[in-house]
Amino acid sequence: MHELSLVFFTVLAQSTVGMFLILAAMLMVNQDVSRQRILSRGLGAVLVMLGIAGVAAMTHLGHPLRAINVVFGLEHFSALSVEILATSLFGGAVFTFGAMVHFGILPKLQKLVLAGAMALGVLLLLAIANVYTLATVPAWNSGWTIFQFVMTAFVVGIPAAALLLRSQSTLLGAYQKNADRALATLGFLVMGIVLVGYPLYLFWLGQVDLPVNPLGLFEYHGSLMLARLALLFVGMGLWVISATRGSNTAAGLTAISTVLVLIAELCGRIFFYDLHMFASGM
Amino acid sequence: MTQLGFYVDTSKCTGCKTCQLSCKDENDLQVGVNWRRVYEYGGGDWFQNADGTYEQNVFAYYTSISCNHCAQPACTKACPTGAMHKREQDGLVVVDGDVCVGCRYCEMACPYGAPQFDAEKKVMTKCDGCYDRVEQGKMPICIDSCPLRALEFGPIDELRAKYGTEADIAPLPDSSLTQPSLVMKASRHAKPSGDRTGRIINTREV
Repeated sequence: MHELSLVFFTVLAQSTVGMFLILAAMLMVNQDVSRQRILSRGLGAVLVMLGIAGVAAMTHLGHPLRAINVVFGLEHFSALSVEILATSLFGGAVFTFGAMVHFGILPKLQKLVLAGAMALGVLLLLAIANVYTLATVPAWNSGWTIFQFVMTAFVVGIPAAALLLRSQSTLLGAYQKNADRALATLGFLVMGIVLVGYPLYLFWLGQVDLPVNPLGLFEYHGSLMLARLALLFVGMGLWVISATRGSNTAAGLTAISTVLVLIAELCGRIFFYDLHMFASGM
Repeated sequence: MTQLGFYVDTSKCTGCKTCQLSCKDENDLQVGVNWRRVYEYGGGDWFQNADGTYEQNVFAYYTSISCNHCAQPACTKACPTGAMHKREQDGLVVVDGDVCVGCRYCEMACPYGAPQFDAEKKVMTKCDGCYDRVEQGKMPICIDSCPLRALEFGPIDELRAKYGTEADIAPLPDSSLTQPSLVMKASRHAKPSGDRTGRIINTREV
């Protein structure tokens, strides 16, 4: 499939936004200066992940060197141009905030920049969904596209944020342990929402008027779905159960969880791209 | 602005694909790149009568489709660079190959399958209405090559005055999506857009 680079871009960009929103929410309510420095170090990981997502998106282009041409599409609000602009602005805002904290620039304005970055993150999630809600592609043209894209952000973002915190557990002390337990509860809830919402989405999908049955397109879709749901359950479960039982500092386990959940989301996204077809079947 | 468009008579078309090939030849297209495509739409079944005999209602017809140079093109709306644009002088939708980044988003959006990715040039390409030939007073090559005279080209207002406004024949999508500059003539077996009793039979050719 030629959209594989887009599978990576969308999943990674959404996960990055989710991870950032968790970290940013913690930074927002935090008053401790030394803790602020430790937490904002995690933003480096956010920028690295966003960079990888950006590179994945570039490999999709026939002419990556002409990528700058996408600014011309802003003139007619091309959904793709808006998405790319949102990605750049989000990355820029995260970088600006990180730099402000690192160099101690304008401490009173930092939270304003942080709020701006959070708003841009949410905007980016919606902008990506907007690219795929095309009137001519019935299987994509619904609120379920937004649901899936937003859920990816949190399902991967939460364990990824927990992993970042665990990597700094010696410096953060009890704060980290409490945060880990809170995130595990949140992760459990989000997993519940996905495991309830996804079958409903599949029910909706089965009733879209299409020339072929969207649930019977490829032989491997059965195993892909199984992998997606099993990896999500196992990945999230490993971290959530151990965290609620009092193991809140081991980074290795959370790393495995994050990777498993990330793979689960990649499987789900491959299925999503496979559904591209027109109502006419042309 | 004059809007140029196509007339396709599915009651005359025999699916010989001369239009598709003359287009390929004129524009020197790669294997797999088809600016004009002939869709074979067919269906039907066998029924058993009370006396044990069988009857069939099998049907098939052909729709030759390139780009419909729509009034509201999904491709130009999607295009992030403006490379895919509608010419002001004749309403033809063409790609500027020097600006196109090859993101294939227009391909995702167009319900007619008109934008085609050229794997060698790594940009999108599509039917340009043979505007160079049209400027010399000639017809697009597909029109001139059609042995059945099933295709016509010209100002869409004139074609509509002559042949009506039908553009919703299966397997074409609902014309309200993009408002194609296209007039179709139904064949005896033609089904409306959205029909599910038949299907595109030659999927590997288009």
